[in-house]
Amino acid sequence: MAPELFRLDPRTTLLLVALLNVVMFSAGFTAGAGTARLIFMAIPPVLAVGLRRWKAALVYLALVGPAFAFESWSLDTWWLGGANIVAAGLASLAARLAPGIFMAYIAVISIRVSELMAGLEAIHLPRLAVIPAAVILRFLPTVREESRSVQIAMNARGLSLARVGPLAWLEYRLIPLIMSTLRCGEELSQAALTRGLGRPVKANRIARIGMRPADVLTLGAMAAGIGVWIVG
Amino acid sequence: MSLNGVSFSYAAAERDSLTRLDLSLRPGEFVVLAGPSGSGKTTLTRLVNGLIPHYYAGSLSGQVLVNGIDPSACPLWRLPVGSVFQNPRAQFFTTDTASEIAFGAENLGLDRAEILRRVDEAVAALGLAELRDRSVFALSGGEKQRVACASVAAVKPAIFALDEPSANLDLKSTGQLREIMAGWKASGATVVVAEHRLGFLRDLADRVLVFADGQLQAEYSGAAFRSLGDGQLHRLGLRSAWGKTMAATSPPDGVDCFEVEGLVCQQRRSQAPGLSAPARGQRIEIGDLRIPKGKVTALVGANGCGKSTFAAWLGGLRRDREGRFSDGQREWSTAQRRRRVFVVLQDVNHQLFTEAVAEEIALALRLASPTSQPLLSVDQIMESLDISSVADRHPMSLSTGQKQRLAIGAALASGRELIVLDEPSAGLDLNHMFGVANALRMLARSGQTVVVATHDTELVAACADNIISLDRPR
Repeated sequence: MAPELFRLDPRTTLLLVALLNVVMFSAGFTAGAGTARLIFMAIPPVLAVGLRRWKAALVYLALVGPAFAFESWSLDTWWLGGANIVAAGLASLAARLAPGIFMAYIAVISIRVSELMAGLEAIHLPRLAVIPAAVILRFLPTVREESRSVQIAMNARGLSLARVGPLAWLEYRLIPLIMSTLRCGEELSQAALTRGLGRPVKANRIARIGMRPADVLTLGAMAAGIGVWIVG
Repeated sequence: MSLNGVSFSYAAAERDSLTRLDLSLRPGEFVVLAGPSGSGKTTLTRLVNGLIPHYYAGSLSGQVLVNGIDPSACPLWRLPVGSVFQNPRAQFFTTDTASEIAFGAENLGLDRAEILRRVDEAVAALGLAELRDRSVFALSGGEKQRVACASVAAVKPAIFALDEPSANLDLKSTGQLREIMAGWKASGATVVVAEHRLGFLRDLADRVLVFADGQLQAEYSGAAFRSLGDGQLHRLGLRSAWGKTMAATSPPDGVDCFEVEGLVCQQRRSQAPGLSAPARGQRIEIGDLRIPKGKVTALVGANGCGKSTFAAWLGGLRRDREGRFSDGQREWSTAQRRRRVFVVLQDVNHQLFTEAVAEEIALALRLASPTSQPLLSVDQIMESLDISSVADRHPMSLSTGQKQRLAIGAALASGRELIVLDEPSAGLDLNHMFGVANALRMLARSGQTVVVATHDTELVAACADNIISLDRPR
């Protein structure tokens, strides 16, 4: 179990995913905007550490840290010329893209399906939105599991990239994956239907959701980030 | 519940899956549906739980009544039926066990305290305390099936409908499933279960219905069924209801053998999303083994004894530092085993890569190393495994038994010296099981050495020359 200290309400996590991307792509080059980006950029690795994903957090910091530093530095250093503009552009792109991707990854590994359903139902989202969201979240690990099994089966058969070429390799990789994922989906919907999903009553969920200290801290950090962006 | 003159055919099918069936079940009755694959027993469970007509389209005639309700005239959720399915992997809607057990009860709209009470009750009744707050991805097949049962039980349905619930389970898990079902029977619920493996249901059944070609072929009371011998069951196309004991045999000295020495495997539980799994590793000591060449060797033992792990190790699919493998003269490294050993893994669906049966065999022939044995043609292989009639079909459209035989065909085509199969008869009916047994004998006749990890005593009796047990007095 992830340490309770770091557990976020699923709605906090989703809000963070959304705001982080807004800040990354809309913040300009003022000092305030830079600070806002820095604040938002720093949240995902803290959450990753809370989930004991040390390695992922380190890789993220090693990529985003230098990219952001280079972007800020090169803005004041125009004399390097054309090559500098290209390099700064690339660094900026990386520094703005990576946090969003990393945060989405954090969301996928940390939100439990039961909590997501409880959280989204609590804010009265219609079933048409809640169930697909839950199913997507439920399916990502399944696809990963199935994909691993297919890879093992390919290894066993000697179907390596070098042996069969990239096109055939992709085909052999995808066909069983798609087939087994489709079948899982069918069986999953049957199981869900026979267990009363679709009954027109308001379900009470037992999953624990609601504000906890970690939510307050995270929301505070987000508010601070947005604040300095607007003021600065 | 009752059926009057019920016929059903699936939307794309040419013939009826069930034809003019009349049947009535008394409340509290425990009914076993038996019969070969495609005989209509699964279709009947779907009529009971309402998936027909609500999920599967087709033409339905006659009258079905479940607890006095016509399922086609009311929404699915109104039916008082709880369902357990064959594939333990795919019945979970959530990713942690506590929420999963609560899921059905939550959907009833019960209040929180009542849901938690029911979860506690189901957990206690099914002995799941140690599985209560776990990621479903870190559970074994047997554990998943028990959690699925608990989830259904928490809804407290009047009728339980189970479709081959033991197909992917080992003997120990099957025994636990039996205990759960015995509890349901004792509580007065009606239980309808379609199964190939009849042994564990033998003493629970009040009535056994045997289907063939969509029709009720025979009907036995529980007592009458228990008096049937294997010969009579086989004539009905049914698997044995009596366990056979399997004694390990050791190959005589002087026989040419593959040799395993001092093998110890380290097993890890997979990490799970949102929850961290217990990261404890398990040591599996396999030790020394001899596998006679050109023969079929069965690898038996209770689950958790490392059959699948050992099968993967033989195929060079895992690297364990302790343990050596040799062909009697030379040692084979992990990389060599990967090239020279063919593994048919437990879930055959992950291992069929092409769009037609003939193409699958052709691919295996292309991948075979030129130094391996003289090869058969695609047609010869399909002929010998009785899959010529489906040569142009997509592998995923085949029955499980046909898929298994196709995977064995690929093994044959590979020309590799050692073929390892993991539970090739899981979920197969009598005829398909014999089909697989014959296919394994074929491999041995062609000079390949076969190792088959299985808990299916009938398969062992039908094809093994030699039995290795991984169970150890501990």
